[in-house]
This record gives sequence, C-alpha cells and structure tokens, in this order.
Amino acid sequence: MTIKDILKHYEEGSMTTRQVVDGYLEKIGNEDTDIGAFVEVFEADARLQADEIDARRERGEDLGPLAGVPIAIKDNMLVMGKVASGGSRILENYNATYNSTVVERLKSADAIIIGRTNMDEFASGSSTETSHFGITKNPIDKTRVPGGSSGGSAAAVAAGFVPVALGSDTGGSIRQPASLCGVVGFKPTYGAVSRFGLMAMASSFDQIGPMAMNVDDAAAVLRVIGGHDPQDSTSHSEDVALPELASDSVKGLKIGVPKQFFNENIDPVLASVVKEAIDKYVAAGAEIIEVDLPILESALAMYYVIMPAELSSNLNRYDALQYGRVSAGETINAQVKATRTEGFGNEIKRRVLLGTFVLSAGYVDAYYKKAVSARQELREKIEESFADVDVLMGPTTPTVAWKLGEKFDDPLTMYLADIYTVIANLAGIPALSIPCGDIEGLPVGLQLMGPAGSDAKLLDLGHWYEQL
Amino acid sequence: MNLNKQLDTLAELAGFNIADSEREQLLKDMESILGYVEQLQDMEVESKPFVRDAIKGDSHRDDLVDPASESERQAVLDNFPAKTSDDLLEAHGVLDHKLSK
Repeated sequence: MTIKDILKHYEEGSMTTRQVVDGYLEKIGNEDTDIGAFVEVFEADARLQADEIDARRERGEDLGPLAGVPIAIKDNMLVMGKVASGGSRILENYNATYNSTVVERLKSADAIIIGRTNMDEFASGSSTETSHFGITKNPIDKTRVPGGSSGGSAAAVAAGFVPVALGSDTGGSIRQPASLCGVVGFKPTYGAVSRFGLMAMASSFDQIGPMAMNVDDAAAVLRVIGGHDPQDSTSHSEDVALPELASDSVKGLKIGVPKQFFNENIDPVLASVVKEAIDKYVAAGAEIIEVDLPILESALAMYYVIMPAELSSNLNRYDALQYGRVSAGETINAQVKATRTEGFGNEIKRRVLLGTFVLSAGYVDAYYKKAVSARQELREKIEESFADVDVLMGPTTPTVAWKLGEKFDDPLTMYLADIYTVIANLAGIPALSIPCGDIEGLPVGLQLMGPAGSDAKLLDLGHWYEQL
Repeated sequence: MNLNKQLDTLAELAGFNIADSEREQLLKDMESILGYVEQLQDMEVESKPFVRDAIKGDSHRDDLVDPASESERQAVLDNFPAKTSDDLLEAHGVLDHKLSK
C-alpha cells in the first residue's frame, strides 16, 4: 500500500490504524528473518500508538498529515528511549536520550515509528554487509546485496514491510540501495533536512531523506521532516519549498548528460537501460545537452579523502566514557583502545586510519587540503553547468546488485559503486533515484540531480516519469 | 611514504590496536585506496576553502541555555558505563601517575 492508499482507507473507514499496523507487523514477522531489514521492531509501541490514533480519530480529533502511517527509521537516527546502535557493536547498548528532529517531526505528524533498520556500520559501506547485527539481503534476489549503507531501509520498502523508510546519504547511501532494490530514494539539498539526532558520519555530506515505492510518498514524508531547525546550524534558515507534485509538461526541459557517466566504469547493458529512460523525456519534448565535466572523474577520489577525514573526527566521541560498550583496561588509554578495537568493525578501522593519515602532519596539505580545494572546484563547475541545463541525468549506479560477499574483500571495488552518487554530496545538491527498468529482473535506477534548492523540481520530474 | 612504519602511529592517534594478523591486509587495502586517491596530486587546482552551504543563509540561534528535563538527565545518567552512588560518571584517572610535589 502507498501512503495515499493507507490514508484513503482511514478516511473511508475501510481499515483501522490497528489493522494496518498489524498487517505490516505480521508480514515483517513472517518474512524478515529471511531478509534482515530490521535490527529491532517496536511491536508493542506501534500497536499502542495505532490504538491511540484510532481512538483520537473516533473522537473526531485533528490528526497529523501522516497519521497512522508506519515508517521505518535507519539505526543511526535517535528515537528516544530506544537503542540506537548505528550498526555498530560499540553502541549495541546505547539508549537514545532524545528524539532526532526528523523523528520528532514524524511523531508530531502522527506517523508510527515501526522499527529501526539495518545499515552498514556508521553508514560506512555500500552493501549492508558490515553491520555488527548481520547482513541484509536484497528482497528482489536474496542471493544479492541490497546496497548500502541504508540497505535495511531500502529492503524494508522493497519487501513491503513499510510504505516508507528514512535513510541517510553521505555518498549515495539512500540512492544506491534504492536503485539496487527498485525503490525511490531522495537525497535533499544539503541543509534542507535537519541532522540533529543523526549520528554524524561526514558532517559536510550527510543528509537524511525518504525511501518509498513512489515519488509522491517520498515527497509526503519530506514535507514533514524538512525545514529549518534551530538545533542544526547547517540547516537552512529558509525552508526548501515543496509544493504538491504537478508533473507539468517536460517540453523544453534541458537535460544535461555528462559524458563522464557513460565511460568504461558502467555496465553497457545498464547504460542502455538508463539512456532509454532519458529518451522518454526527450520523446515528450525535452532536449539532451551533452555536458563535459572532466572534474567528475576525480569526484570519488575527493570523496575518499574528505569523508574518512570527517569520519575519523566524528568517531572520536566513542571513547568508552559516557555511553556505549566498554571493554576492560587498567588505564584510561588502555580502556579507550580496547573499547574501540573490540567495538569497531574492519571497515570502520580502515576508514578511520585513512582519515587520520590524510589529516596528519606532513600529509594534510597534499591530501586533505588538496581534496577540499578540488571539491570547491567541482562545486563551482557543477553550478556553472546549471546555467546551460535544468537537470543532470544519468545512472545511479554502474552495475545492478551484486552477489553477497562478492566485493566484500576488495574495498576499492566496493567504493566504485558510489562513483555517480558522491557528486551530489560533494556539491551539496539534491539528487533523486527512481526505478527505470531492470536487467534480468535486477532493478536499474535513473539519477536526477539539480541545482541547490531545486528539490521540488526534481521530485516533479521523477513523478512525471512514474506516470508514464 | 612507508605506510608500514606509520601504521602504529596512526593506530595510536586513532585510538585502537591493530593485531599482527590484520596488519598485512590492512596495509594492502590502505595502499590500494591511497593509490587511487593519488590522482588528486595531478590536478591543477587553485587552493581555496570549501563553501559549506549549498544555499546561503544564516542559521545561528541565540546563545541561550536550554536545560535538560529531569527525564532527559536521567536517560543520560542511565547510559553511563559506570557511576558513583551520587550519580557522578566514574572513569579511570587521566593522570595515571602520581604528580610530584
């Protein structure tokens, strides 16, 4: 069911909130053992909330715009009173002491937080294979990865466990799993959605966004979670506008297709599926303009210098003092080291060491500062390109979902999965992934990117495509 | 650059231990990744700071204390790995040697 379907049932009285929630909980109970989308299901709370909403509806009280809609939350967003572990052993016993802003807003809208979804540890991964709590499988083909790091959320939506889920996106962690699982995933403009209560991975990249079966549902959630938050100083003072989706004509739309997107990195069959999708806009009157952005070829390198640097700084807070799992040690240094050695997985250690290296004396200029300058150059080039085109389009990922374990032992091959998605995070611009076809049943995603603040426009263009 | 020599220092800075059994693979992975990002050295880019905000705007709030509620305070205390009987966080001393007079 979509959000629209659910709200219609409630309006017509054909289903109660409790019936809807029970239905989803039953499906999760029967099928999630085989997929691993959820780390924890808040069964009792969800039922209690459902009953409350039904009672309020019965009394004719005003209800929020998402009243009775079940939603899953990635395990790196705080839900007060619940464990939030970020997919990591080091936080396996951490109880969130406050609600993240996105959760607070969803609760105010009377949405029902049904559980926390699995993720790569501290959002560091592209396959949801690095979580301390086990792997998640792709519901489309359970021998394959769902993508990551928001693989649990993508799988939960694709499997029909929830109509919508929240993910977080630092280098593609909403869009890439959305693409691999055949669902919609949206990364807003940097600063459009508050990061308060989101475990920081790379603070200048992270954004929270929706994952859903269609663009309409994604937009409905974005309207609730987005907007200025005084508790997040990177949150924009002016809200990024999100009117109702209009799906206006695309006649005259200028679509920039960077030639760097269709090079040796991409599976040729996937490339043709994506090109066919873009051609649908052209058939309706849009125009393709080939864009040459050689700087995009260095985007992944920039990302894998700056992101580990920020990650290593952000993960310093896990110091065995105020919360989290603590290992034994006779001195403070020994205790911190033992805790972090035992608490962090291998991918985290790899990235933290990389980050420490690129920030260290003797290397910081050559690596980190160089990457920061390059990132600013990329941002400026992308902004310039929007003088000539309205939107950039291309593949979300270079391949379809790969087999479980296939890339796990080769980090660089894994990192290449993000080659098209990191661009939007580097530039701070919004980006949408929508399903646009498949290769032997394995989903392919079309990625749309627009100038900062063009979130509504991108969602409209995605919505237009869905109506075909 | 001899990463092998630097690994122990990096691990010390990063605050964890690296087992001997992990060392070889870790070095191989890091060298592979650093080899990939080396391409940035060939880029001719003017040194410039990063402008963080994709959309410009002032997001500062007033510098006012917003005290925690009793339940929030208790939730924080309940997360302490170790605490004294009067709710102070307990941890090893930072100075693990006696100060001389």
